[in-house]
Amino acid sequence: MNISKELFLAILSLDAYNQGYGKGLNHGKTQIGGATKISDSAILDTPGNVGTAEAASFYAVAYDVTNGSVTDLANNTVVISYRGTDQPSVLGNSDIWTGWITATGSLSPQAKLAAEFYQAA
Amino acid sequence: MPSGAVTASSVVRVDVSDTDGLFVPPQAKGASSRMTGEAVVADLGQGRYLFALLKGSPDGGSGQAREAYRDVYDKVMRKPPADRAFARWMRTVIHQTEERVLPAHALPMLVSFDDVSDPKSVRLVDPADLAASFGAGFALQGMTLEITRDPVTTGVVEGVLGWFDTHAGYFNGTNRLNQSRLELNLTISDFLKGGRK
Repeated sequence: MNISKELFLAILSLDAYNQGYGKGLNHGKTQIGGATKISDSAILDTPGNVGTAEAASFYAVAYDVTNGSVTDLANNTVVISYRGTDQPSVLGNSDIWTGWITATGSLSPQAKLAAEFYQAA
Repeated sequence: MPSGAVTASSVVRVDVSDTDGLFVPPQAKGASSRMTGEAVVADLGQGRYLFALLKGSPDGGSGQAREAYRDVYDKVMRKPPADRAFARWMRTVIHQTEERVLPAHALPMLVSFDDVSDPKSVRLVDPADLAASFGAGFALQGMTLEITRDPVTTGVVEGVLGWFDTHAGYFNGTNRLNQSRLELNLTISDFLKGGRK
């Protein structure tokens, strides 16, 4: 039975919180239904800026939808899930300063990392 | 054959942020932790190194602390309110001064390199069978965890892995996970967190 595109993308959106650093659930899976985890934002780390994504409260994970079990998603479609707000404090490197300020037209750290991960994945 | 016992250690720093309050969305509430430091590097001689990474069973450093101080953790977690339990645990564990043995199920991931100049030569090391990786006579006597105020260890990993400064992506040389050899999916953040001092 196929699963709808909308439902499956919602599941992958949730899964971004259960992969990588600070995961909510440690399910240890790289296979989510018809999607295979192929990359995450750890690839953006270099010795000069290791942990930059984490310091900016940023995390992204890419999946390859391979088996055609999702309606309206072609084989080998790459889906990227970005985490949303999880550090809303006004202090420190919270999402307010590293992400929300994108709405003002500023190139926030999270917006930059999102673009870098899109290009790398 | 080993020439004698080898000990190695590393000090990592853990910062905890506790997010709570009237205007915090429910999904954003809770405590989270961030680690700064590097993997433990044991020099076994003759160009052989054993690395205990900043990841591993059951869920990295926080899981190792939980399992090492399991009795303290269980006691703290039983107290209400449940949604503040992790923050309460973090505030409690920093006062533990007793060195604890890490149980077998909570050891960090162990790796070595066939050639330390080549990240693709990384190999998983079975903590129960070091001889399989390093030869007869090698065995892991134990691993311990201790809460300390000592300074964070820096520079040891980069001193051994000469390519560390220029590496990007997974150790398999790409930005795509290798589904068959999981150790090739390591990144430098499994060896170093929080950046250089």
